[in-house]
Amino acid sequence: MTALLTAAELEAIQRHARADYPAECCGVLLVRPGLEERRLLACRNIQDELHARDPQRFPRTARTAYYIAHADLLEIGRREGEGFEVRVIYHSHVDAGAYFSQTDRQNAMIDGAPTYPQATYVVVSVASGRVAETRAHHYSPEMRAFVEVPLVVGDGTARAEKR
Amino acid sequence: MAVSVYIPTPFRGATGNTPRVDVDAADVKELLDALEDRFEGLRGLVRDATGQVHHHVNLYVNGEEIGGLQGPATRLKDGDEVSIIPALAGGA
Repeated sequence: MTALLTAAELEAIQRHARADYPAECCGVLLVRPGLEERRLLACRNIQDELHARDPQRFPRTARTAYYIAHADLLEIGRREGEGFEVRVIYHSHVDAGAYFSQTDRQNAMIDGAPTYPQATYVVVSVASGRVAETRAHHYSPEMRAFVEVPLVVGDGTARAEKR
Repeated sequence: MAVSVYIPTPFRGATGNTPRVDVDAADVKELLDALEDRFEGLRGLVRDATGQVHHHVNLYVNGEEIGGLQGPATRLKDGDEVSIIPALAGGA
């Protein structure tokens, strides 16, 4: 089974999740197929700014939600233009499990279809400032739903990442 | 008025895998109308049935989100760059 993340990428994602606690962190892994050039892009969560500006449309704060900053979205678009594809979209849950929530599911779909069907969503649970678990979720066309998949790291060993 | 539009990967199935298209339009709404006329498959992806831009789709003119401009009424001029990019958002 092909590794989704290198050990260093997983460590960087978990470090990001710890650093942003008690806010949710977010980011993407971009990969240029063929060259297998990989770029982990730690993004800025602008949920608090959106909430402050329009609490009706954005009732949640960054403690329970993330919204990748516009500058980062544009950067992702630029990279896609260079041939990169979005391989992983990650975020953290604060004092909650690494499940793929109803909000996560809704926001990962447009018009009933997954926005990035090739991407794996990685969720890091941070409890009391420490990484509790890291899980991966992917859209299954057969199930027509997001399902948990093994988080395969580095040397190809599947790790549930429970600590 | 030729405006260059960036089509994100998730929507390229509707544009024959073209990442960038040139459109003549005076404002963002006109641009979306023109895009949907040209690429039937874009209908429903960027805007819903009532013509509202989907909650999870962001539109940028020269790197500025149109919410901070005049929304769909944002005027366009020759050489402007419009980017359509799905929001990446979620939460516990």
